Amino acid sequence: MLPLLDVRHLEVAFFTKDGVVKAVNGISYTLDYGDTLALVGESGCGKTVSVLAMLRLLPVPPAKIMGGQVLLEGHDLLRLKLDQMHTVRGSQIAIVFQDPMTSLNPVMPVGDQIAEAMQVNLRLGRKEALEQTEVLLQRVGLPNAANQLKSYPHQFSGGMRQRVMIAMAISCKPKLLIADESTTALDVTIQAQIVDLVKELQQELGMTMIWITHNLGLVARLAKRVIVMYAGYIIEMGLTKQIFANPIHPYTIGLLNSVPGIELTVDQDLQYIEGAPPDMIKLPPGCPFSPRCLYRSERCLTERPELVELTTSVAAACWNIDRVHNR
Amino acid sequence: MTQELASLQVSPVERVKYRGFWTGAWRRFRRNVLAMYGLVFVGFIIVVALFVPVLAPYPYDKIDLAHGLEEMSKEHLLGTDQLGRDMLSRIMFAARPMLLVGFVTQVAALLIGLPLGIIAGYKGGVFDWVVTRFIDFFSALPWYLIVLYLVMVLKPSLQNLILALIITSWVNQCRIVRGLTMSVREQDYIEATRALGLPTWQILTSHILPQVAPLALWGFAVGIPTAVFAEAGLSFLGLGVRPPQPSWGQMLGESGQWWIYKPHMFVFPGLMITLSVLAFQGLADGLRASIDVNVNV
Repeated sequence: MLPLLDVRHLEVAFFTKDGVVKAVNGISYTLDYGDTLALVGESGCGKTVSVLAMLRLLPVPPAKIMGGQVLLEGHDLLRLKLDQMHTVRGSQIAIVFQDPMTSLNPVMPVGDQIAEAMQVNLRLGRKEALEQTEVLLQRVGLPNAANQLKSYPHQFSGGMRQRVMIAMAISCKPKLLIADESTTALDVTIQAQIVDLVKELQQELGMTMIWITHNLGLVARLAKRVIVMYAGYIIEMGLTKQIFANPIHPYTIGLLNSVPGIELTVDQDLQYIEGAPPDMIKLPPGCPFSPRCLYRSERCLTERPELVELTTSVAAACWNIDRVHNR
Repeated sequence: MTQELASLQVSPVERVKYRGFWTGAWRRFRRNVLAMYGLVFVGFIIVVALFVPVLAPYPYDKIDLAHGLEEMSKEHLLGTDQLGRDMLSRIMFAARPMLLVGFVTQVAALLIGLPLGIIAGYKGGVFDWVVTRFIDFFSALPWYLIVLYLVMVLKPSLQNLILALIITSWVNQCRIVRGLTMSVREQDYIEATRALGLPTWQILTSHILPQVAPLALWGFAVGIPTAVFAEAGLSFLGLGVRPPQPSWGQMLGESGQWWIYKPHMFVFPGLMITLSVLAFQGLADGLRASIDVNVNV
């Protein structure tokens, strides 16, 4: 069966006056119906950009999609005319954005904001759309939903707004829901509630999901598969269980080690990866992680490793896998 | 001491009900004396202009040479001009071209400037570049000169005066709308609506337009006194309202020869110009202060 989403060699660059920022450098992955995928990596590694490029939401210029294909049920989104993208956005792929404080129109009642999308995408009448909105708001756990339709975003807390954002995203029954760091701006207890809510909704509506996140705890709990990105490259991907149990790439190892454990005492230092991510304008010629890598060899500095399938469920891009694992 | 403390006691906070943006704006507007003066005076002028055929004691063009240049009297409350025409009637009739110029030019400027400004500000690119060059061109030249030349080239008349003022005044409207649109465009929630699949026209009308509408309304309001003043000036120079139709500026111009002996001929039209420009200006300032959320206290 055709996968729901098939991303092939997606390449995105930003043309700035300082030079060309190579934000996404030929990433490929597939996503089956009903699957849950997590995209992880440091800030600026291209997670969000790759997703926004898929939906053609990047401002062109300065951004430019340099190549690749994004096949949604076999249709290449990158070849679609820009004025046809609105048939995909919302009704096929929807995003829940990171910051619920700024992602709602402050001068429009929330009911109208949610109903508007349904009026456009599902061609519902205004009354019908508002009725649906009420059902949705109830479903996402907003107390007293009927009376909240006329409320403005500033009358809601962050968690409530994120619930509104979720209601908005699922309103047009998308096949693919992307959560772009949707829990980052919330406090920990609310985070758990929101995550559980989205998980429930995913099951209920049979949605496929991509979680973009820094939160590795979340990944372990949610995603069946995980993609680790670094400097616009996929450096490791595979089943979450396997990667968490046995990370292959030195960067993934570093990333997992830097999660503070509960057994950490006050006088122990936090683990971190030395150095900073590379300048995306002047990427190192070899492996992008080589300047920070503890295991680098001559070859790492000159030749970039390709993503190699190690088992059926894990792939990594590293020249020195043997050395890394025979410590 | 205890008394002082007692007087400091804060009364229990009443729950203020939010009645919507425009209700709040009206509450702020009402407290502004100059704005309220403007509203009353403009309302008064509009009523006069609407019912002037009934209200005016004489037709504006009834010549009576035997009673030329008369001072104020019972028959002619504000006296007569050099042709014996009743000044009061002429002043009342002159409210019509004044309002016509003020409102027609600004409505047209809004209809041209608002959509152009929103589209240019949101879309950017070549369209924005072209619109911006137009704005630059008209902003670089003194608008009064452009109007003067245009009216002279097109033949002086009220229609051509209105046309010339439209050509120069849409630019202001367009500039302020474009600027605000560009800042609203960058808000996260606009991207969120795009991600939700709303087509561009829907984003423009339901998300951008309500944000720029108050400012456009203010642009409309400040444009009026400028246009009114321009009409008076050009009519004074004989380039606006054509005789025998009266206009305050034109009456002021005609009084030139006699003003030293017959002050009533320039005092009243001059007063009307001053009062109405002031009224429109007060209205506009009051509007800005009441709809600008940044000065809302």
